[in-house]
Amino acid sequence: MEGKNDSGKTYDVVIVGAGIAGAILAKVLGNAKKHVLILEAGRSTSFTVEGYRSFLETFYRASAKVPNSPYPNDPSAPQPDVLNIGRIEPGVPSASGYFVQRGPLPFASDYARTRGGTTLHWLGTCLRMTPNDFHMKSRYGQGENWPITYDELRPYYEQAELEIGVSADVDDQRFHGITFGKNYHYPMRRIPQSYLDHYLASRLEDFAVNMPGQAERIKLHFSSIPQGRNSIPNAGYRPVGHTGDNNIGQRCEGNSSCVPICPVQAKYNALKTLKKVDPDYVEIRSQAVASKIEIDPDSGRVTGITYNTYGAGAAPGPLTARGKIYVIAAHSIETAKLLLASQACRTSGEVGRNLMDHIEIIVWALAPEGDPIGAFRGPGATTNINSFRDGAFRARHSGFNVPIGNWGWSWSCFSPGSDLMDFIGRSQPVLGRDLRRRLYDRVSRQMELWFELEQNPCATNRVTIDPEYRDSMGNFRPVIHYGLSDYVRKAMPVARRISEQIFRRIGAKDYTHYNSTDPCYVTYRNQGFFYRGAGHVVGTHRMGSNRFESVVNDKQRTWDHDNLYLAGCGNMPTLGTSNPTLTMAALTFWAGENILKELNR
Amino acid sequence: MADSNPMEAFLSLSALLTGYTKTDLLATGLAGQYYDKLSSIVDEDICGALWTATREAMKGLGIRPKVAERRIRKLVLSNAMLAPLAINIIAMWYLSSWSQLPQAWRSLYGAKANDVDHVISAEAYQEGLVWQAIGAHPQGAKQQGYGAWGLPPPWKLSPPWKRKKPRLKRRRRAA
Ligand SMILES: Cc1cc2nc3c(=O)[nH]c(=O)nc-3n(C[C@H](O)[C@H](O)[C@H](O)COP(=O)(O)OP(=O)(O)OC[C@H]3O[C@@H](n4cnc5c(N)ncnc54)[C@H](O)[C@@H]3O)c2cc1C
Ligand code: SF4
Repeated sequence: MEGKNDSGKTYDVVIVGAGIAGAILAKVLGNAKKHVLILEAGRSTSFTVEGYRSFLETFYRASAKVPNSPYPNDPSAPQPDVLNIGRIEPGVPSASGYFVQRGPLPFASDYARTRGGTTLHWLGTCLRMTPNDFHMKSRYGQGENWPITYDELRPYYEQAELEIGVSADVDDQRFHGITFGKNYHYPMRRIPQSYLDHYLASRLEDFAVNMPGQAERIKLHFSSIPQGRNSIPNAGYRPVGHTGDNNIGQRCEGNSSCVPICPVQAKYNALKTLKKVDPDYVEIRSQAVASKIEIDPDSGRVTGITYNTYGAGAAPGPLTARGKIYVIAAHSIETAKLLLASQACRTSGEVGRNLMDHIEIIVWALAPEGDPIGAFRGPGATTNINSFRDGAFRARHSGFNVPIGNWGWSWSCFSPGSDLMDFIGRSQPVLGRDLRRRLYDRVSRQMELWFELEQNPCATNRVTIDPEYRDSMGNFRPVIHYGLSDYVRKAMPVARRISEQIFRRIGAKDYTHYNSTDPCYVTYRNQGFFYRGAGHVVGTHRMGSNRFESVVNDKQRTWDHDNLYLAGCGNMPTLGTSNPTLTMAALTFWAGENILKELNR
Repeated sequence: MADSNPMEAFLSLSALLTGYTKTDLLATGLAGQYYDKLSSIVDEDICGALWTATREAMKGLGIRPKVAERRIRKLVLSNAMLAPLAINIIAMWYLSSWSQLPQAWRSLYGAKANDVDHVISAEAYQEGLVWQAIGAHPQGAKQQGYGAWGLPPPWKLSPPWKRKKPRLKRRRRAA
């Protein structure tokens, strides 16, 4: 049902979603004096000092400090939560949370539906993709080729790095063919690496591991991680701090809680970009949930976005926002869902398909006795082992990036709470000073490595809708079909072999064990693993070079609707071995340029 | 200790169980919250029995901690009614949270509506002893400053439990 035209106004561009993708577009277009409306499903709580502070308080009080723990779930714009991940029995979907998971395996990531979007609880890692990531099909016979190359995207990477405020040194980042423009430097210097990083790198740099199926050994190479968090600015750059008070958060202070919330906003989140939009040209409407893209059946052009409001001052019925051009930037899963609900972009049949994420295979160990490495200090990860991001093995199995986790065994085992409960839950509990000593001894030696396996595109991994499953506003809930291909599974034992060699080399005791009762338990050739989601959700409305195999073209415009663009990681046809947001942000700057060109025509 | 103040007994027991001094515990500012939490979930007479057992264990001026611990193990941790309370007291100080008492305990001694897993308060989270114990800081609070994570962990060379008490030099008598 089409709603009342909300204000009678026709904007230049209507954007759905005030996450990083929507924010970048609004900024670019507003600066060019185009009139923009953003419809944002969530509330605007995050925008004030007090509101943001209330998220922090909620986080402090949460029993399970999962990514969405600070951000209240609103039944009018619900969001997934990793606490709802359960085992899926054949034929019985797991639907206790927002997602309806049809399996066979659970999709293990979440996102946030509130102003600022998922970057409120991202880690902030900002790697560029390797040139080969853009040509997986021609290079390795796997996945897809992108219709654009690394070199074409390079200038937009620079814009994205400037917008996010990335801290890194160019010299650390030249590997696997990644190149930088002459005299290019990141906005800020590299974030200091953790004591654990130095500990491992000094013992392992140039250590060559045996990789199953690979004739020659592969040398370990460590590099500092480019991060969207404030460090020491390079000449000419001014860090952006807390959006409520720019004096706060000018430097990362080591709060060690970047996921789920940086108390001082030293870490980038999309609120920072939203704060910079020109208010004379950009209007942000919160608590406005888009439910349908209206399409003229004859021309195929979009005529409006129908949305519902909620809370105090909500309109009684649906409203419709009108513009010349429309952009859906509502997160890869929500964007796919909205396209499906609107029967948009149907030519290729690819909408919702090829859902991908990095499959996190975590391994964990204790540093040798008497060698505390000081876990639970600093940003989540400050160094990567990047040796396995690209190589001939990608013809056979996933490549992977390997960050070194700075937060002990928190992801694998819920440390330090689980360590305490272990010591005091025994029939003879450990008490007193002995308890303090044992806790220090164990937890301060904890280390995790995260093997982030690249998922390949599979048509059967997909987001669908089903009239039987709706939220309280009557909008569809995402119905997810998901599994892991052999291409990914094959890399699991490889990751394990590599980690065993690493731990043995440094004399660390390997404690990795994968409980078969875990909902995310999988096997490959009788060897079991559990995986976690990375939140790197791509592929659901991919770009390509023809209208029968992809949803958007290289310009990020949909093939089927002249005035409809999509923005977000869903546009990425393959995932690569880097966290996707920087690349997506680069693509979004490129999309903004294309939209401007069209408006100025 | 002859003091019959239950708060005093709670602090003595807490110090013994956690390995932190009463001063350390009072410095968190949370003793009252934890004591009230326990009293709101566990009946008065059961709490009373816990304080009596504590006083019994601490009897005698200046007893050695090992002796007190042995007595606590006997009088509290070997007592089915009191042991789960002691465990919860440790969990409150270290993890700032209340854990639901075991089912067996609940069916014998009463199950209050607020006997559910929860974090006691936002302030309590920031004062959880576990973070000090592991040489870190609560995630999201008491940040250590830019780059601190690159420094060696605290106590790498000299953990507090290995440090000898500085021996007071006897002042030489003036000749
Ligand atoms: C735990 C975690 C850690 C991560 N760490 C990293 C990392 O280190 N590096 C990295 O590159 N990536 C990381 N990511 C991924 C990153 O957060 C996402 O790629 C990024 O936020 C996507 O941006 P977006 O703007 O497309 O979507 P979002 O940030 O999700 O924003 C979408 C916005 O659209 C709104 N919206 C949704 N539906 C509607 C609707 N129907 N109507 C109106 N508005 C709507 C939402 O409320 C939201 O504000 C992480 C993700 C998670 C979960
Ligand atoms: S380490 Fe702390 S200050 Fe730095 S980005 Fe993470 S949460 Fe923010």
